Amino acid sequence: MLSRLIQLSFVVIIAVELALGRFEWIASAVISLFITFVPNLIKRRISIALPPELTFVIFLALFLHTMGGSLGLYTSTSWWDHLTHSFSAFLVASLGFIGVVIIDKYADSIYLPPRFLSFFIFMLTIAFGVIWEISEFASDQLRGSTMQYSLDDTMVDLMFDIGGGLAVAVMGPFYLLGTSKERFLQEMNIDEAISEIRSKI
Amino acid sequence: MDPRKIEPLLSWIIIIWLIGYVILAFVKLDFWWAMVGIASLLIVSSGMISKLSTFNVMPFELIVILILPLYIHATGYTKSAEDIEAWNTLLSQTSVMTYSVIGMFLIAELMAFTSLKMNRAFAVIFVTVFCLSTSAIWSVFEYLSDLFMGTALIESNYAVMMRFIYSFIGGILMGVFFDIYLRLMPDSRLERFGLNNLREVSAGEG
Repeated sequence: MLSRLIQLSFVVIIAVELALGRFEWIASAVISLFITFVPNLIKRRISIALPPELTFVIFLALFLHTMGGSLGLYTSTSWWDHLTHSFSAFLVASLGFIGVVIIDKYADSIYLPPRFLSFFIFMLTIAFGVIWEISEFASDQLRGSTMQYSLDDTMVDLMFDIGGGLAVAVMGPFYLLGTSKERFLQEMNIDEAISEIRSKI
Repeated sequence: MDPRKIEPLLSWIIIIWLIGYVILAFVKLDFWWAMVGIASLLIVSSGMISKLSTFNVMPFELIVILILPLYIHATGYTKSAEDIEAWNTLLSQTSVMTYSVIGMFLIAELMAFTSLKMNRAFAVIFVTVFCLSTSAIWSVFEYLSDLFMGTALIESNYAVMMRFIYSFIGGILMGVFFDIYLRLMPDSRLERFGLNNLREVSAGEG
């Protein structure tokens, strides 16, 4: 229900921005809207059911980013960027965690011992944070936006990313311990999905 | 001249140079680079000093790739103010070489001593991710040093961002390079260096 509201808000944002003739955040809203349809698409085409909480968190991250941007919160509120960054870093770390656990289970040539897994997720989160900063930088250079204000800003973002990555890296294995890899993946219907994908290849 | 005799000798020369480098870095309060120097020292000497490592002697090409950025960094101590910016850029571009060798060494050791297994694609991803995250931590380290110890290591946001871009592209390039490099290495040489584990990665399914 809440997810539907978020999807609706993206449509509203697109409409309002078009009406006002401002184009900076339209791309973001369009892409966000598109992404909100992906989980359902994944479920229908390859039968992987993402946990609903995760889907909602994805929507929320997109919403905070796009809504905040179009409302000018990135410029007016000094901590908005840090908020969305921390949130996104946590999200990316979680998605990376799930992705790596799936690869680990289904690719025979890959096995990642638990502590290496944590270490890798930690690095992956930071790496994504850096890539995010690079895209902000590229956007600033090529489109003259001002997503990166200062060195301090960029650095604080990275420190938040490092913290977020650390949190997921530490929590992840505990989560797996509590629920066992098999059940974790089972709840997402991965088995069925993978066999379907394999049969189609 | 037999390479098997020369290589250990050259390795020892490098080790002595590295010890000097680490001491110099500490004296100059360049702690990040001192740590990188220590890590490099461990890598180069591990095979010869400790029987625990799979490496006997490290291939000299890899040692050169590992050390070159450190050498470039060391030359910075004599640079004048005008040259510093160009030197900094060069360092940002090449430091990924050192980081990637460290990353590769890490995988090799872990694959020898733990149940870690990975394929080619993942190895390239790992090297890229390793270089990216190491650059980020390096930059945060320098930033905090500037903030709390009054150093002036970071010039600008622009310089740091370019460094990240170099790490990203460099990491991918180095990952691919290692993949090709290991596949092209003759088996006998591979065994001499104890790099068989990595060969399995490269020769296995993609």
